[in-house]
Amino acid sequence: MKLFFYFVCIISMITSIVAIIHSNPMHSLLYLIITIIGISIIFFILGAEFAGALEVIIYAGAIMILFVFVLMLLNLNIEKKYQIIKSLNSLLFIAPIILIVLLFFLLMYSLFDLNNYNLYVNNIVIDSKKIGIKLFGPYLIVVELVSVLLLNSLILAFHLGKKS
Amino acid sequence: MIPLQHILILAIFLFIIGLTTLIIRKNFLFTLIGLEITMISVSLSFIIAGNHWEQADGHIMFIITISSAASEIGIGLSLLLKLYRHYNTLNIDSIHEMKE
Repeated sequence: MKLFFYFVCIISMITSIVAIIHSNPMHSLLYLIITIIGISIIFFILGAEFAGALEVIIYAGAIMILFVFVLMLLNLNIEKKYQIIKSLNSLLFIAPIILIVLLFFLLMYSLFDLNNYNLYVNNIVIDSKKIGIKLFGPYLIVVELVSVLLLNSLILAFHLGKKS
Repeated sequence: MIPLQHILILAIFLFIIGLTTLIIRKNFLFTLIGLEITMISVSLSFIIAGNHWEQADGHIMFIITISSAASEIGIGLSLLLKLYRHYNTLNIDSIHEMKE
């Protein structure tokens, strides 16, 4: 199980890097779907089966398919390769990238402090019964707020999408 | 036994990848993809925290995160279609009106 976990980790890291530097948007979306499925496999390994199923259904099944359908509405000409590297030469990009690398090492440094505590992944399964009791008990207001949020986004997308 | 730090390293790596996409790509579609990767890393860290404390609260936060990501992507894609209809391109720099 441990070896399988590291294998999935490396695959999702590599595909996420390929997804953002690829020149063809459709291939990039397909690589992103592989990343999402890798993350959902990690959820299944952790024992969060409900979250893993939800990740596949909503992210890979709904959001990515929405992306693909919108991409089919446009006829894009594929960018030339190495255009990204050419645009990186400008001086404007150097400062933000230095800041991002700094942020990365800062977060890594904060993780090395955790090494003293010997934290490991627990072998517990949080099933949908526990989540349902929590969700419709103390967190009932969250369900209402999320439904209002989704209604808002539906109205906004309808308003933006119609021809003026 | 898998140490907790190794999954957190994966979450941080995905977050940094998503943040980098927002800066280096000028295509609006790739901006949305970068936001999506960032959301995935945030939901991964919520699930890890819920596993560590053996509570279902992390999963509740995961549901909130996933629905906010879905609504964000819906609005973002309709803005993308609007941009494509007006300027016939997806380059973000074409919306510059302060230039000249």
